[in-house]
Amino acid sequence: MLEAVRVEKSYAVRTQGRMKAFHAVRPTSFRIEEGASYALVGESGSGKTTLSQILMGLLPPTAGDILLDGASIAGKSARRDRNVAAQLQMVLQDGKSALDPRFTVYDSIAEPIRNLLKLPREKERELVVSLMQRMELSEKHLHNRAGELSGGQQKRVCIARAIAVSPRLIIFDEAVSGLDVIVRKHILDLLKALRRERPCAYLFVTHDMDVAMYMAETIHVMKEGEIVERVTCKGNQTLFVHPYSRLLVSSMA
Amino acid sequence: MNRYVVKRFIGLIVVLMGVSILSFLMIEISGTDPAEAIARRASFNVTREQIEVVRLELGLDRPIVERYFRWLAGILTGDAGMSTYSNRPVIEDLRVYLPITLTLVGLSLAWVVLFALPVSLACARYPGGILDHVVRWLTLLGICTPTFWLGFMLLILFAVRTPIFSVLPEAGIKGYLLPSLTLAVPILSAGIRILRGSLLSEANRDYVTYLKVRGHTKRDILYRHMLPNALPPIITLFCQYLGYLIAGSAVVESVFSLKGIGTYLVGCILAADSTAVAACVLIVATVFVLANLMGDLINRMICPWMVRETND
Repeated sequence: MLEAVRVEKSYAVRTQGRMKAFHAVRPTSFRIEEGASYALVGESGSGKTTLSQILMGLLPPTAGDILLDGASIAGKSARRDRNVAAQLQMVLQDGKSALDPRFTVYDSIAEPIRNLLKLPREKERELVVSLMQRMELSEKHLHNRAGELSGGQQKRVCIARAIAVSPRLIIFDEAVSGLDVIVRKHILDLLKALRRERPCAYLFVTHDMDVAMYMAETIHVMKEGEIVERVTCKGNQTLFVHPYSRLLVSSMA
Repeated sequence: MNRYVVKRFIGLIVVLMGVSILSFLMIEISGTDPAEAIARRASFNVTREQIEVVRLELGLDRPIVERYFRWLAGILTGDAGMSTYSNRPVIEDLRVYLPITLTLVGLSLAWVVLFALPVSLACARYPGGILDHVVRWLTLLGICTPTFWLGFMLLILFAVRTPIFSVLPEAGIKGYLLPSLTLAVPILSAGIRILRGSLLSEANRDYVTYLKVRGHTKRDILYRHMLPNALPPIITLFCQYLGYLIAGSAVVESVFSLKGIGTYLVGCILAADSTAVAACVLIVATVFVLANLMGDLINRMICPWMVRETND
């Protein structure tokens, strides 16, 4: 479905008075298959967020290409057509910051429905309410704004908004970081259940190997801009052989 | 909202009472004996007995609390006493000078609105670009430049070397253009920097990233989403400056020979006319407090989410 073909990203940085290229992402290729679940794991600065932003078209790659069903979409977020925008969705780390503070819960969830699906008002409301129910959000929050919700509730609104247009891939960029363990587990279970109900590929971009092991079938371990190991582990942590991957596994709680 | 407005109005009355007490005390502790000042206005050679007669006639021998309430009642009914500086009732002076200052301040704020929004939006759209750098330096200069120097420079440039305007006050709106621009420059500069900063901090928020992912255009994100969220600080600044401008217009008024409340207030201070000074201070403070209230109410109207978050 989505393919990264020898994608790389480098920036010119000044060190000791001389310009040097800093490779945020070294040439990397991988495929995301329909309905599968992946994780991109690495410490801060490993290049995983840069890579996810390139996948979503937020950053243009220095070299290489991003293909959606064989068509290039690299660096085209602002010019992307509705059809492509509906297929790829993203859930970001800070739930409060990810929701426009002026928007109510209803507006936030309805925005992609209104702009991408163009449903009549009645149907739009039905869909918003059913999504809220599915995300275990009470209807009384319909007219609340992001600042009036808890961290877990904000995250549920972000997920409801992401699934509203039935995307084919959702990228979760540190999407459950900062939540307490109980809320995090609850949201991850909800995501698992959602994937059983409506087939959709997941890509978890996280520093937390625990989350990656729990959610992803295939884990890509990133270090210094490079994918150092890919393991289709399905929860089996003994399959990791790279020392950096072993270090991440050993740091799990 | 209605409860909030009522609460704020009650608070406003309390603040204004406090201001009126301080203004009245200013007359008391100024060292000028009002009875003597009034007696000497009629004739310079007055005896102590004549001063005491004036004191008795005007009730200035009454306890301070009684005199405060009489003064306050006078202010509320449009009688702020006589000015020893102009030998006229203070209220008549204010009727002449206040509209001049209000026109000057109103025009200054118009400059701010006219330029702050488009310039900040252009800078925030291309941060780090040439325009952004140029504006950054110009606004820094604008904040640091003293208004009296800027006023003189504008007069030299546009009234002496290129005589588009007159050095002496001109009738109509033309006479206010240079003074209002002079008064506006520091606020405009600060306003541009604040709005630009506010817009750029919105640009780093995740909802903007989400909108980009969703395929919204840069223009749509900037105007429809970032700008409304970035407005509260500039509205607060704008309303606070309204009070500062009225209080601080004296320098610009004297550079451009405008007879506004600023120059009147300075004249009254130099002439030790505490009655007029107290009335002016009360008016400036009232405008200041009302402008702050207006800023809060506008923010609550356009950003209701801020209110609920504060309440939480």
